[in-house]
Amino acid sequence: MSAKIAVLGLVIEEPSPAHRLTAKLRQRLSSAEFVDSNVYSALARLEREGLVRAREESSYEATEEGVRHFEQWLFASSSAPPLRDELHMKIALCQPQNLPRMIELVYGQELVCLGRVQELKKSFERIRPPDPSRWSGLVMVMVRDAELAFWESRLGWLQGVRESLENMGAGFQDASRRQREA
Amino acid sequence: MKLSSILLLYRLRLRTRIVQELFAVAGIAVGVALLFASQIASTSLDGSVQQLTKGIVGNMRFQLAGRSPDGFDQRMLGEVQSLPGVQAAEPVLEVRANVLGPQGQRSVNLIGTDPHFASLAGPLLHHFTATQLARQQAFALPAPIAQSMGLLSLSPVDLQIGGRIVASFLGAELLRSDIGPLVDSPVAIAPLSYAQKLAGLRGRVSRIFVKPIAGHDAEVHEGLARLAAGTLDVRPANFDATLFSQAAGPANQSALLFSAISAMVGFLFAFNAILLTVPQRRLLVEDLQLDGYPRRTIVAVLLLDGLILGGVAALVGLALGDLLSLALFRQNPDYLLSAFAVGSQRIVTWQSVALAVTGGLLAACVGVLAPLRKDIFSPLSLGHAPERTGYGGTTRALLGGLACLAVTTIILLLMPQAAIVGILSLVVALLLLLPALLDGVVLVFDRLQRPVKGAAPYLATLELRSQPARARSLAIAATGAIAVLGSVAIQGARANLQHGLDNATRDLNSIADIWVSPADPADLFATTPFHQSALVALRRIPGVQALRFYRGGFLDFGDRRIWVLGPPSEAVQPIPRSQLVSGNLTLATSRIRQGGWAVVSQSIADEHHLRVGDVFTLPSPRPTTLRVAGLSTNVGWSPGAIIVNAQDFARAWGSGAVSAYNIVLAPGVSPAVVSREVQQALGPHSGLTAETTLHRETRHREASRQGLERLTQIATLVLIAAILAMAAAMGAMIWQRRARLADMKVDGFSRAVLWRALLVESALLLGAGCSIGAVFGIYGQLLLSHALATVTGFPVVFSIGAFVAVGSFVVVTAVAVAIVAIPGYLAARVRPALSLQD
Amino acid sequence: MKPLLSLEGVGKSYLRGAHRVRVLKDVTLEVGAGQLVAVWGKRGVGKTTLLKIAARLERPDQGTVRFEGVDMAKLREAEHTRLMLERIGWVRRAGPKSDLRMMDYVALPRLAERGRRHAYGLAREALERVGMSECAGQHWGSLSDGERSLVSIAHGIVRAPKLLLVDDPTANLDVIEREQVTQLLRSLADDEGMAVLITVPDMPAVMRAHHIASLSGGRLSTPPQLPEEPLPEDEEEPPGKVIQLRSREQSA
Repeated sequence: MSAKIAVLGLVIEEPSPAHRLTAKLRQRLSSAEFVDSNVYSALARLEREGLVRAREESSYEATEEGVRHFEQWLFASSSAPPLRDELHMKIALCQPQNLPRMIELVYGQELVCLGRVQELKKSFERIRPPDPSRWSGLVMVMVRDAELAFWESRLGWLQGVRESLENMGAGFQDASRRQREA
Repeated sequence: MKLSSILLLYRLRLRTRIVQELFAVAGIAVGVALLFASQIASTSLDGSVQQLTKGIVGNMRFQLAGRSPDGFDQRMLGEVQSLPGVQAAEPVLEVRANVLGPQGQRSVNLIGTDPHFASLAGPLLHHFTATQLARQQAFALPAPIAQSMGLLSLSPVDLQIGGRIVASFLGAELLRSDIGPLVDSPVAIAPLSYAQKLAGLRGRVSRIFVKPIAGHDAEVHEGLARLAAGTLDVRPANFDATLFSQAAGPANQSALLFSAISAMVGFLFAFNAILLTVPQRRLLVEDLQLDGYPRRTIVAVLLLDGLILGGVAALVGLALGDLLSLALFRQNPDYLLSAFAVGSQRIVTWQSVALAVTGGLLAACVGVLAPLRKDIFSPLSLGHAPERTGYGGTTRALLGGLACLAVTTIILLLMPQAAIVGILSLVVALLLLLPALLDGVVLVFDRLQRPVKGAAPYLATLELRSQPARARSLAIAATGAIAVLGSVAIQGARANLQHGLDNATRDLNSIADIWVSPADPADLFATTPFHQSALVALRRIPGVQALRFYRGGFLDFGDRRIWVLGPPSEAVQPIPRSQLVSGNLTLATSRIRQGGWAVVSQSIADEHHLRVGDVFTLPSPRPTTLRVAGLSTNVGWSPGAIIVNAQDFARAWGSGAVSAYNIVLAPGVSPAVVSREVQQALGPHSGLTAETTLHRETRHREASRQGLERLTQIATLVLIAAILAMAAAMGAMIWQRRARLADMKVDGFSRAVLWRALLVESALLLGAGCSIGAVFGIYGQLLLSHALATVTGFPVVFSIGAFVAVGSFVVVTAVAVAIVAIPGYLAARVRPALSLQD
Repeated sequence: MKPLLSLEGVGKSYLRGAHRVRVLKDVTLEVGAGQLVAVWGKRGVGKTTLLKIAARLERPDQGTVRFEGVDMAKLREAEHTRLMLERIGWVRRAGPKSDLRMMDYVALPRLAERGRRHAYGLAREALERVGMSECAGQHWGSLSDGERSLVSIAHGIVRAPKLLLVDDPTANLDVIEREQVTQLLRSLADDEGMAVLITVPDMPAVMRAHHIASLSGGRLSTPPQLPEEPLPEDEEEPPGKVIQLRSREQSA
């Protein structure tokens, strides 16, 4: 997802100056990790392509072409997210003797995920609690839940991996003890 | 928790379980009603005699009582009055009289007393002083008795006294306002002199009641004993009540036993019903526990449940019991009327009410608390372990059951007087062994049905083995088992007793072909003396081979009012052959004929430590020394009997009066024909009646059957209650199972298979319960029969009442299953969709 | 300050079928007054066991549980019962077992004290607090999942407990209901000063908690501590404001 289309959407929602757009983007899509400069370059490109135009007081609004472009994007089917993860590869290639280290690694990742959830919570706490019975509040909660769903499923996956590795480790220990005893 | 809060909790839950609650109320009410009705029956019997005695006796302390129906010389009164320490003495003549009204006859106790003394006596005679009757030649009757015979005040009426009919005059009716509850007593009151005239006993009295000056009791007693000089009895004034309760003891005891068994069945019924509401109560207990309520609050909540249930049920039960006692238990045993004046009043004592109410409350509280005891006492935790069995440890139950059986056996063999305890321990044994026995039956059935095609029997055994339904199944089976046990034991014992009594009746009556005795229906045992008349005419009737004199009477011997029989020596079999329990029949017969010997009931002999050959003195009007020729049963009279020959009887009573003519016919002559001729020869005013042996025997049998009828009635009620209880509980259990039945329908079982499975299950459960009950019942029958024979000395013929047992079992099971078939059919029609809902 | 509830080194294992499963290993957790702590974990990891142990509805194999500094294991049965009645609100998601109106159900824990009127007054307040006044006359069976959750909480808080224990308060709830319930729990901690410990199987339900933890493989993990950031100025209001709960009509 590009910053360009996000900025276009926000401008369609409400004609705004660049700094308001920066704040909104950070609030609305915090996890996408856009930086402020993204907004400015996006605005420049949108203006160049004739999708937005500048109004008075350095505020931007969408052109008809811009609205058409956004709706085209909005209603086009979304592509599946790419799934390429370093940890996947490590697990795919690890050996039994690496188990304890791997478990630590996985647990470390778990804590990272948990930390992200915590951060999300903190950032969410900073703003006024959204009223989910109002449209904007509901949207906010749903977007937040989308991020949470990601962390939740990843955390769940990591926990599953760790538990399996731990159980397997216990099994290997038993087996090697039996071998030694024999 | 405050009471109002507990009540609130009760009210909140009542809505959802009102039907089950009513069910439980009905169950306990049945138990209370049976208990209460039996209690009323027995207290009425004892109480009416006590009331009458008190009504006559008032606050008199002693009596000087004659031993013969002729009483003793009235002049004794003067001597009694002049005894030091005597405050007052009241002469009384008591005679049995048959009042012949235009609409029926009634046997009453004619009581003659001196109006001068009446003010000192009890309420019955108290009123007597004020009436004009005192100076009149007339008698008074309680109004209800007079009305029942269509008698009006101030009208002439015939009285039959002894072998005579005398004309008299009903001077007054005694109202309830005059004499209270005694208005239901069979008595007639007349001035002493008039009573003497009516009875043909001028200058004779039966008793003199004495009131000593305070503190002079011993002195007066001594003086009276001196005056009695061994031919009269000195007794407490109310001694009749003591004698009666001894005589009515076996009847009351059997009523007590039956009350206990019927109450147990009623309470099991209730328990079945209460089990329906157990889940709901258990959930409340869990709610309260999870909220952190302490145990005592929970117990208080449950206790209130029990108390309200028990209280309502007790009230309903009392009303029901009252109806029951009016409708069924009204009639008093006729055989007791021949020796006692038993009234027809219903006496309800506070003890009966208290007993019934306590029983109801206790049953309800136990029923409510017992199934939840584990829930109450388990520590606070979530998720209860599933209950294992309804009765706790199986092994313990088995051992306990066997121990109880052992107790019953010991009682049977060593101390039959504790028969009631024996029956109770038998019931406990049944309850403890029932789970194991039921499992056995199910196991056997399971083995047997394996080769059988079809799912129904399999489903039935599956259901019977399931743990959650076990407590309920056991309660249902136990209800049937106890009801059948009770009814088999008592009906069997009754049949044995009936058989024994029939034998005694046959032997006693067979000494003559025709009996001539006073026409008074209360004179069941030929114990009213009369003076010989019309002998020549009777002897002249063709076909009459011999006319012999039979004598008989009641005699107070110790605490017993015994029956003394004086059959003629010439009789073929003066000793009832079937009734001799010890001694040689031929030898005893010859000794009785010879005179100076007596056959004594075992119970009397035991009391006086007599053995065959021992010498004893009969406390008759002329005390007579006799030797024991043999020991017998009580010949059907519970206080016991003594048999002497008619001459010895006359000697002992100092009177030639007879109480029956025994007519022996020539061979080939019809007794019925001759009996009619005898009746003609006696004339219409003799007061005597002639009846053939067959007729007399039938009358006696009817009397004994009537005396035992209450037992049959209660047994039937118990069975009906059990059938209803089991059918209702089984039906409710099946109905609550509909969701599971719907599941099975989804699994593809058809309606027919499900219905069949339900029927097989019901039949198996009820049949197993009832058959186990029947087996235990036969044991109980053995115990009761043995107790009757050895403790009261009743003639009992032992036989296993297999027919009664099988009959009860088949009837109860069949009817209950037939009733269950309806809810079973409806439940089997459940829509499969029910299983998919919720 | 001592935490209101603390679990130290708690271990618990179960026989599940043939083998023993250790659901809790050396679990340590603290919940202070005014704190909402959420334990997240997948289904069947032992979250409910953890809660039961916290309420002493189950005994741990190892470790100690302290409530207000007192070792729960040393309490007598009666003391524990009293604790459950007065100081620990155990929210029963399953609702009343017996067939009661919600008003009666919520009033139940307070019937012990002064009688009916008093208890019903408190019950009315509790139902109002969770916004379920309309449900007072209803029976459990006729309530929606959201309503059930809220009424259960009312039944838990009617006794004004120091500690509220809630097992999966957001099960089967939609987004709006879930936010309402979690916000309610948060405000109980913030405004009433209750210590609230909840267990949840879905991540969004932890968002209102002061502290979060995750339970898996018997291990309770807490996120690494980050330095507290000051609140940005552009934020209008502090967190923990009581939100207006929906009434039934609005949700219909």
